[in-house]
Amino acid sequence: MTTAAAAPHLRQQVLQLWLHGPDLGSSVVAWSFYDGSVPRPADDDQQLKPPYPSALHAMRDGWRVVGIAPARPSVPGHEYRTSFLPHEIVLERLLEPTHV
Amino acid sequence: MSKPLPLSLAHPAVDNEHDLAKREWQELRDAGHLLDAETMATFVARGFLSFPAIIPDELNQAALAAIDSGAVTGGGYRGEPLMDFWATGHPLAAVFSLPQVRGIIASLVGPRPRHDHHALHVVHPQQRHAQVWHADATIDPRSAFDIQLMYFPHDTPLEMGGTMILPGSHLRQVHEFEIARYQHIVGELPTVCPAGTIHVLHQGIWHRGRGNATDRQRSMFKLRLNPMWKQERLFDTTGYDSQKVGATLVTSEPWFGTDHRLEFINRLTLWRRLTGDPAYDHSMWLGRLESSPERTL
Repeated sequence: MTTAAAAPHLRQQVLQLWLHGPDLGSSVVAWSFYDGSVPRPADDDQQLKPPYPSALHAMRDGWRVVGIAPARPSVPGHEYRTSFLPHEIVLERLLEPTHV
Repeated sequence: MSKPLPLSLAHPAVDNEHDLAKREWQELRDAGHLLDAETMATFVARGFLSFPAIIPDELNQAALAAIDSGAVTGGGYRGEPLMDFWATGHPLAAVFSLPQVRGIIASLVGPRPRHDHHALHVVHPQQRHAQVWHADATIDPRSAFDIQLMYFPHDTPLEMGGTMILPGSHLRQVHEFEIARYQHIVGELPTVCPAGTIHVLHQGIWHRGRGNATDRQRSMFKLRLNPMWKQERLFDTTGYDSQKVGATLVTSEPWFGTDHRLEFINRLTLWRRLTGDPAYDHSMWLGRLESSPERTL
């Protein structure tokens, strides 16, 4: 397994996915992408479709899960309050840096 | 700054603010300008309503000319009655005095609301930078709500951006830019619209300004209004308990995930308040939670 420590020249890409439910195979409802391998981010404001149907699809494409949001027990008195999206998965991929 | 002149409302002088507001609301009701129950339920469910080309073109042209000349500027936290804010004849006074617009406003926050603040949002040609997701102001757990009107005086195609809004996000309790962790959310909706469109947003809705890939300036005038009266039965409540209205209130959004039933409960609770019917329910979402019998055998 390649790690950042073993190959410090590699650069990290981070993909955050928020899923329909806690199952990693459930559908993506939101996403964010950060690319440390390029000097500046691409304009993706026209991309209105998720990069993968689920986290499992991303894993099959080489992304490694590095974080899963914990389950949230309800807060007494605020059981029906909603705020942030609950089912967050953080994935990473290590790439050779590019200079385009 | 001199005190703004009051708008001409063609009303006889009435000392009592309540009587004045009630008369205005009744006139809007009698003229058929109040929102119907189905439209109001859509606002409760999705957090916004769109009124394409509701403003006539001559007023749009006047508003654009006023923006170009600097007569319409951004900023300004006021906290004064909306109807006293702009001088008679000001292009924006003409826009927000239209009976159809006043009917929308009166249905949601009541007649003669308070002008919270306004902002002129300008995105220059080829300005590609987009805002991140945010909700305006801060965490707002009130059961009452403000509205924000977004007036687009010119055509706004997709390449011009518009404002991206997230339908159904208005009842979530978040603080401003803390939702910038999301770049895209399934179901996000760009406000692509013809000239003269007004989008009316619940104050809590998640949104972000998009970039402008055209060679034309994008100008949007935003106006936030506070209710001055209890938001109960301010709209045309005919059929508020119909099956169609109930179905609207429990229509999910594609990004809700496992939270969707919580959203239904929050919407139904708000619907009870807006209709003044404390027993309203649909599909037993509230009723089963309130079932706690005390009778003993």
